Amino acid sequence: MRRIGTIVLISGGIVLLLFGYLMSAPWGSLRVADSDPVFVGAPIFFILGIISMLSSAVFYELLPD
Amino acid sequence: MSVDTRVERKLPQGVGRLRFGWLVFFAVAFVVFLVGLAAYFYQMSSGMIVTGMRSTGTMGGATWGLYIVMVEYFIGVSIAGVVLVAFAKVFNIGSLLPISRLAVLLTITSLVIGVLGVALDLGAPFRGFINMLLYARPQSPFFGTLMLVAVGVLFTSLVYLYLDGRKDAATIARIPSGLRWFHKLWAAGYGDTEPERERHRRVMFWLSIGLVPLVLVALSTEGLVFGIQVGRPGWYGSLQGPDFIVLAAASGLANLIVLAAIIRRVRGAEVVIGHTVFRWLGSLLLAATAAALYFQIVKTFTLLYATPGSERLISDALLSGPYAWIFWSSLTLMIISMILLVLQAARRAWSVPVLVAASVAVSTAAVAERYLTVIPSQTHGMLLPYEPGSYFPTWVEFAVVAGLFGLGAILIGGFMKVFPIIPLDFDTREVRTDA
Repeated sequence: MRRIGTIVLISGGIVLLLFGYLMSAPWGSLRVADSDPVFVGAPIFFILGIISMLSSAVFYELLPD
Repeated sequence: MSVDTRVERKLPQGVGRLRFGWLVFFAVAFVVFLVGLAAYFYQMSSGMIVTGMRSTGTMGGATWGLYIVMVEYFIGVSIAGVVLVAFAKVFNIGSLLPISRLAVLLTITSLVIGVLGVALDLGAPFRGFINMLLYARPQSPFFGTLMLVAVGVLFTSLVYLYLDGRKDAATIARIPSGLRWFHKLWAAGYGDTEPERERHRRVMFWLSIGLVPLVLVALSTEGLVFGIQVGRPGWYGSLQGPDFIVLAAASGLANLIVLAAIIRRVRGAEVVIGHTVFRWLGSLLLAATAAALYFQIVKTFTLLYATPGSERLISDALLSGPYAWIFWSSLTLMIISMILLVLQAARRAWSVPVLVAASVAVSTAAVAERYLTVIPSQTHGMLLPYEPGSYFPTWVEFAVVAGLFGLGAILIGGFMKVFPIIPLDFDTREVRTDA
């Protein structure tokens, strides 16, 4: 349970982080219209990804075997 | 050994006991903080006109002033504490562990103050942070600075502090006191069994491994805020990132040495925070200061040679113009501290007062260096044909920055009254073991 939860938090965090990054940093276009994130609030997913990954340490240590 | 084998009569390290000296210290810090807060409210109600900041070029000023200088300084200071602890954990350097909690606390405090410093510089701080969450682009170094530093490093440091303190929290939660609920909450059922210790070691190791690249990336972006600005002579350059980290390491270690010396004196912990700790810190400070001095000399020589016209204005301002006294004072302080550190290293005898003197010199030089990074390029580094400008902070800016220092003192001093600042594994003077 503890290991599975930790893996979920880390891998979920990486997914959120990548999603947030790709949605808020559209590469390849120099048009002004593309300078905003794909949707408003996309950077929040990047932050949630970081928090999820780091929370896995607390989760791993606090949960009993 | 289980935590249940320990029997104590009172909370260790003066936790929960408000002595006269501490009350005076706290009152002074609180008054300074309130003065800063009042100055900030004055700035918010009157507008940024009460600061010395003005538009660059047309108004001949600087839009980033003392606040951003202190942001650079405090975020720089934050690097040393948590990275030092990470290295100590990964390479099992036991000598540094007595100051591990203090080091992480210094990181957290510096980051809180640094991020607040960004808010101080904004006319509408709330809107600034909200817009960052809604519209920020990760390619921007500002995003890296604020999000990776504020969220990543700060959150990691808090996790670090929390997990590393659970054992001590469990130990002192057994002592009847008004803080017992807090210590029990912190301990979260920790029993100090072998599987728990092993799990903790594993978590700390991987957290430390992950932390170092995170800190390096986050703090490099801090340098890149300046380093990638092509249109601003004096800022653009590949050295800004590494230069920022090197000076950050030096100033962070310097602050840690001063704090460790204060805690050592206040807590009477001459044995626990002994000369081995200061020998380590002194040697590391020597290496970091040497690297910082090297960068400063290389940058100076680069300025002295055939610089383009726009860069020449800045080099003149730095070497013989209005910023010369800051530049040469900073260089002199760095050289003095280097001499003090090299002499101690050569004699293999690290005197705490001399080390503190060298640290104060390094720290002051670091503030001056940050000032020279941020300001001259705005007042003298223009590609358009504007006259050179000037900037000098007003009393409002000085008061607000003093308030930040007051806040830092409150955070560190306050923490010391609710939790042991030295891990109990190393400071067993007030914790009797019946095992």
